[in-house]
Amino acid sequence: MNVTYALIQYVEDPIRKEGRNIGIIAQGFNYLCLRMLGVKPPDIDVTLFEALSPKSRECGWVYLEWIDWFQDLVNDKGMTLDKILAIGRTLEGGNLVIKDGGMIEASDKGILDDAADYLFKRLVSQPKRRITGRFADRIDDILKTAKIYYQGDFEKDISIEFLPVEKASITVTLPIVLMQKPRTVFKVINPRGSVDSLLRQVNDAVYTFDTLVSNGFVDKDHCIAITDKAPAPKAQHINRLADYANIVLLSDLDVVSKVTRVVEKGKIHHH
Amino acid sequence: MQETPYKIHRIMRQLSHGCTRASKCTLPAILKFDCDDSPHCVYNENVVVRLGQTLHVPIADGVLTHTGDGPAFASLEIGSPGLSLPNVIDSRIERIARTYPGEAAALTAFDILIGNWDRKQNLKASVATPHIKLFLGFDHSHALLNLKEDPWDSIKCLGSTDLTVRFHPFYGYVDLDILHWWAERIAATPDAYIRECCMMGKTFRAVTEDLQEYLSQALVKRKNLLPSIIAENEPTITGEA
Repeated sequence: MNVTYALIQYVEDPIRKEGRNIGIIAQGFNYLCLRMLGVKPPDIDVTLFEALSPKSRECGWVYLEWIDWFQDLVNDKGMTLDKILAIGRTLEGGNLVIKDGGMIEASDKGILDDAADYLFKRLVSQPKRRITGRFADRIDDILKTAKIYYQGDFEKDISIEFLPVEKASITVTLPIVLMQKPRTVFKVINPRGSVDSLLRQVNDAVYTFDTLVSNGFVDKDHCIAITDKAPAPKAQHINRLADYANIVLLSDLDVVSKVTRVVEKGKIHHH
Repeated sequence: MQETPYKIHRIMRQLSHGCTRASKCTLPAILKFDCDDSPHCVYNENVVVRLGQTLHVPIADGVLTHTGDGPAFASLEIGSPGLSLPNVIDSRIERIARTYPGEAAALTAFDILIGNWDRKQNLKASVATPHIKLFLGFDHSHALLNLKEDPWDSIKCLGSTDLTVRFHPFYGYVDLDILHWWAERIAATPDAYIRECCMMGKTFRAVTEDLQEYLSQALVKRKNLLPSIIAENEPTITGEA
């Protein structure tokens, strides 16, 4: 069985016409199959596309629209690779183009998904690392990509006061909370400063998570500590948080999926 | 209020005066000229943007500019730096109409007003990004004076009760109640505003002041008739014809 395929390329500078493969569309066994950078159904992580270049850094949301557009295109009844290539010709001169890829032989007993996976792995390189930026900006980006910012129960920078019977009140602060039960709470620990600064942040996070869980405000599985990779002397302090929360590192390639999973299911469940 | 993320191409030096710390910048645009297929393109595009802004219809902004060939129209590119939004394809129309019922009705009413039979894919809309609401029509080179081969025939057509737009992507999907609301709203626009949108104060490329005047009269008549034109053509607009 022959499998024909098209390449989806991101062309940062249309004048130079140098494209980078970001996806493939394969056709065989009477249907079409799409694979795009950052798409692992049901998860979509546009930050991988954003990591391609300084320009792509700004347009993750447009890439999300393109993913949706390609999914509609491939799922359209009666759609064929030839028709997609014809539509692709109308995209010439833009930043996203479709090109004829060629043909490969696939086993008659195989399935198109296997061929598509093979082509994707062979033709689309994963970005080696994320673009770094200001710590706070990166957190904002991730919360936006995970659509947390746009949930109706999203609250930012709030203080929560507990009034234990016959004891002094306890107040904790949270930079990000999803208030709808089961609630999800976030603490942010920036490891880039001094060890003293990191210690203060870790202690505050431990105290906050402990207070919130012991007072029944949130369960431990829905506590998230967002931080980043740090050298060993600092990492040992950060690792203390594992007893109190899910630790999510900004440098993780699947950071968005991890945050989404904690919000939706509690705890980071790995595939 | 919609977001309209026009692309910034380059941000340049900060101005030395003013408390707002303004900077110079450039935005990419699609430059449009008159051509054989669309001999009054520049005038059309300019008038349509003025009309759209007057009526608050969601169409892309643009400005007149000058090239060696005389006035040209620069339509601001929609999207984000580094990547343009995809154009609309047929299979997404229903979803777009459902996501943006008000905007879809506004654009449909507006296209009937200006006789734009070439909406097709000339629309950008975000449907997958919950936090970005974006719906903008663009490219109106085949409307107004270019509706027919002869501009006087175009004016005659616009001044009639003819629907003129036989096919439109939102026919069959547009919410009729909102469409009627938009027709009434457009009809209530003062005549003088429509006239001001059409008149350039002098001959503009191949468009004489006479043509501008007659076009404005035809458009005033058409906007007043718009509610009845839409009511009489409901079967076509609902896709039941």
